[in-house]
Amino acid sequence: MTGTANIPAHPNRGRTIKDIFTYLALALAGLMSAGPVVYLLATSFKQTYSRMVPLSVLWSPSLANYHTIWFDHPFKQWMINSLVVATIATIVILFLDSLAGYAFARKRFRGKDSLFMLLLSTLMIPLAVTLLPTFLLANRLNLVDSYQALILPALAYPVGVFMMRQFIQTIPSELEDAGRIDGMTDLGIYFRVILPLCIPGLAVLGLFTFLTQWSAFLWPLIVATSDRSRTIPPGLATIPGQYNTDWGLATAATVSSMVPMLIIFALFQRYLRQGFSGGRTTKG
Amino acid sequence: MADVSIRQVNKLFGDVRAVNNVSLDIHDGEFLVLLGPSGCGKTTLLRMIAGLETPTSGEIVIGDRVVNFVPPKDRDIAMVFQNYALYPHMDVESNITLGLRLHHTPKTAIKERLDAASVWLQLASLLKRTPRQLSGGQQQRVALGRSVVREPKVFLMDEPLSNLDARLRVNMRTELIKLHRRLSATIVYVTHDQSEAMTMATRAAIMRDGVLQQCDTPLHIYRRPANKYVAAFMGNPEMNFLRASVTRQGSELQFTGESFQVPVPAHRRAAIEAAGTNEVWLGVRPEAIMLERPEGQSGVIEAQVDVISPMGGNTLIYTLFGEENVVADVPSEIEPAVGEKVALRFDPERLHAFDLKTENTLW
Amino acid sequence: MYRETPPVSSASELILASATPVPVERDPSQTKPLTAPLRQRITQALGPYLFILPKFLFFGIFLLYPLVRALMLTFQGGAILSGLHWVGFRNYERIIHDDIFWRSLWNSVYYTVLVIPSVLITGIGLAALLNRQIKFRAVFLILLVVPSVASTVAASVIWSYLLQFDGGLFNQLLGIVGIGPVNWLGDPQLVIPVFVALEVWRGAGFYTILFMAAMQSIPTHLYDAASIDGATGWQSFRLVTLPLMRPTILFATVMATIWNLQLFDSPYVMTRGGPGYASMTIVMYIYTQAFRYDQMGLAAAMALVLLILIMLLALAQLLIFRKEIEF
Repeated sequence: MTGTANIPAHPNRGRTIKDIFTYLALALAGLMSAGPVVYLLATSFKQTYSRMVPLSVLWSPSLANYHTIWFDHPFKQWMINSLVVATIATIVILFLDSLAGYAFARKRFRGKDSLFMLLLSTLMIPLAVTLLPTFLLANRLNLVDSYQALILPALAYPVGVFMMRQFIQTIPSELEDAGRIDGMTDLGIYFRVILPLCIPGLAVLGLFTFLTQWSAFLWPLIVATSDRSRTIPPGLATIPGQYNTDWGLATAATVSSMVPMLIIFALFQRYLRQGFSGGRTTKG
Repeated sequence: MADVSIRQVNKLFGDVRAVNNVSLDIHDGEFLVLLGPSGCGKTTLLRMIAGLETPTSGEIVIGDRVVNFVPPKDRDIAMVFQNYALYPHMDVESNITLGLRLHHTPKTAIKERLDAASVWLQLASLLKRTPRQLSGGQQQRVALGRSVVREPKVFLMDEPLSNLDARLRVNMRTELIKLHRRLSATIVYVTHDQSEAMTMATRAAIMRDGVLQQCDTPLHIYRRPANKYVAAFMGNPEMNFLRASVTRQGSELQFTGESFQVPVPAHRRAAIEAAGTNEVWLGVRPEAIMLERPEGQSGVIEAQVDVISPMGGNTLIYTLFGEENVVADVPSEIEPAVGEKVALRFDPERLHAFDLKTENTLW
Repeated sequence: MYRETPPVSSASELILASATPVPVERDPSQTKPLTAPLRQRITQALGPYLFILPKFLFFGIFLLYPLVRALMLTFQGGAILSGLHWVGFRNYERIIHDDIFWRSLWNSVYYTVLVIPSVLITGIGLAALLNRQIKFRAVFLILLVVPSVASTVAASVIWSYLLQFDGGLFNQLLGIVGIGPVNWLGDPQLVIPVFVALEVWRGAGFYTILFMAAMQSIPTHLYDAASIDGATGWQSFRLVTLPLMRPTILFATVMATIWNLQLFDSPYVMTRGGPGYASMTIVMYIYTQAFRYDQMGLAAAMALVLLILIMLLALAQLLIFRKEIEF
């Protein structure tokens, strides 16, 4: 039996002191984590070129910055680009990685171990190594400044394959046997048995992939050379200027960029908790 | 319904021979139990009948065709798994009917069969639930329902009762027997529990390390085991085994052990002489031993009572003599005291002898 | 629907077998082994490959090919437009003599060495606190996770704002307690620790969740046994919790090493590598060489050095803590 309260509190003595300390420490941590974001939020509601923003701004919020950022600024295009790229990349990766993960988890074929090792060995390769030639490739294919250039390289990362393989290994193989007897084809088993049972794992993978794609900076910086395909991170990086920054605008943009991620996180957070414990199927 | 023939089937996993040259004919309408400890090959054999594994050599025949390379869905079989293998994300009704739908069974037939199965297996109220919401016994009935509606030629069952608690297991045994009768089904059933085999099988096939040891009705196996392994496997408590040599005493033959001597029954003399060996394992089941007062009579073994286990209607009495332990199963009216000396008489009609080296039965 | 029961054969069959396995005998009438029909064999053999093909297609084109191409690039010089040509080992010679390259490498390593203990201690500490019987656990978690949701760039913008010398929140708060304003991003000694703090802030949520999951998988009866043995809270943390978390800690360390050695986003947005080259990281330098000075080959050579460094470090960590590995 595993538990949530693993650190046993000693009966009575010293207990309240420990608890007080715990709450204090957590409150402090919480404040330090969320405080800056609150301040950020407050700033975004103030029409300002000035640098000093006392908290009193909350009394008179203004949506002017948001208006500017959404209607008078390439930000909206960046947002659309980010959404398109992240969504498409995530969906495609979920399919690619679960198909491959299933094969590595359950099927027998020649070279399986070597191919798996090949995937594994690329985990440590820094982005900087592959980015340069990928840029040359994109250049040659005339794909610079396009959605394809942003999406396609992301599909190559093998991390998801490991995750899905790990997850699928927890699905009882008897279910596949039953499926085979019932009349499913190999692909049928994948769609009818494996995929539905992978949903928690897919949710976690999807969440992380979306997050990675959403916040990807270096590659879009290199390859999204105009606002046509520019995503939010490279765009956002242009807002703080060398000398005079309109912080109201910058903070409004930053807040806006966090909102979609917050929504997605909120929607899928229950899968995060499930996802860590692997697949859950009926105990029968 | 159909016959299933297993003809000289071998299965190798790398270097491991899981099934070793097994041949077996399963008759139409039989309830055949594949019995043995884990690793003996029974499940592998079942999976080969199902089509989930392919024999390395040999043939599997269902009905009148060789099905080695026929995929499971086309073999007209149904299987009940140890862990039920119900699709967790589908409700009970979908679990039961999926196979039929994938085989393009007409909707009316599906409904008919589903209704019939729901009635006998009492699933009607569970149809819309998911497996997570069911108890072990309920899941098992759903798994049965799934296989029943397929109206297969052969039912394959892989230790379906081992996940149930003891009481439920006993109930389900009788349910399965009734199912067998009702459907006139050919059932191939895998288990390691010899009492399941005794109660349910029309015939049992005992396997050990991939080799088929004996295939016969349970009672025949019990009374006439083919070798020492089978003799030990069937029956609880286990048969008593004593090493002995065949010696001549005047005109009589005797089984002589280190600390005992019993006469060779007259009607077995011929078999002993034909066997051409002097070293044997003597085997006698606990219920074939009678207790007498030690009064120097012949043909008995003097022993001392060690442990007494009353079972209610009968009592198990563990005795010691020399280095040997022998357990006797006697009516509960017999109540010796611990340490008391008793005389053990083996029923000559129910004595077994096994060649010491080959362990095969001598008669 | 069901036929009546046909009588079960009453003749019993007694098949005697020896206890030892018999060697396989080939029935002379069956000399040709059965094989599956060709079509089935093909689909069975090729089927699995279809499952992995899509992934490997992208993997091959966008990971393997660039890898090989990058290796080739390290031996090439020239610019993209004017064409690349072979220059042998010249790129490697140049980087050996490039002070900024070594400075950048050092900065990245220094940063990583500071970051890893920071995030581990923060993550484990917060996880330990959150694992206690407390109320509002979800609230605290949410507060901690909020910064993780911001992209690295967004986080950098936020901190740029907070760290402003003239009127940024941090300096405002310092002013309240009477300390003079600090030039966070302009002081060469402070700039890298600032980035460390930024990464701790941004990553706390993720690491906390990771370690919480690891802690929750430790069976409670071990703690019961420990307290019967007389262990205090801190002792059972040290003797039960930490040791059983080692695989996760190792995993986090290796991943964090790989990730943090590649630091680019925050220094690029906040300091462009300044002041001087105090916050120039190796990836930033690679980027600069490749896309500002059009020195692809040189940049590729530097990237290769980084690759080797990362692999060495990761392998070293894995080897040292080999017994914790489980796949």
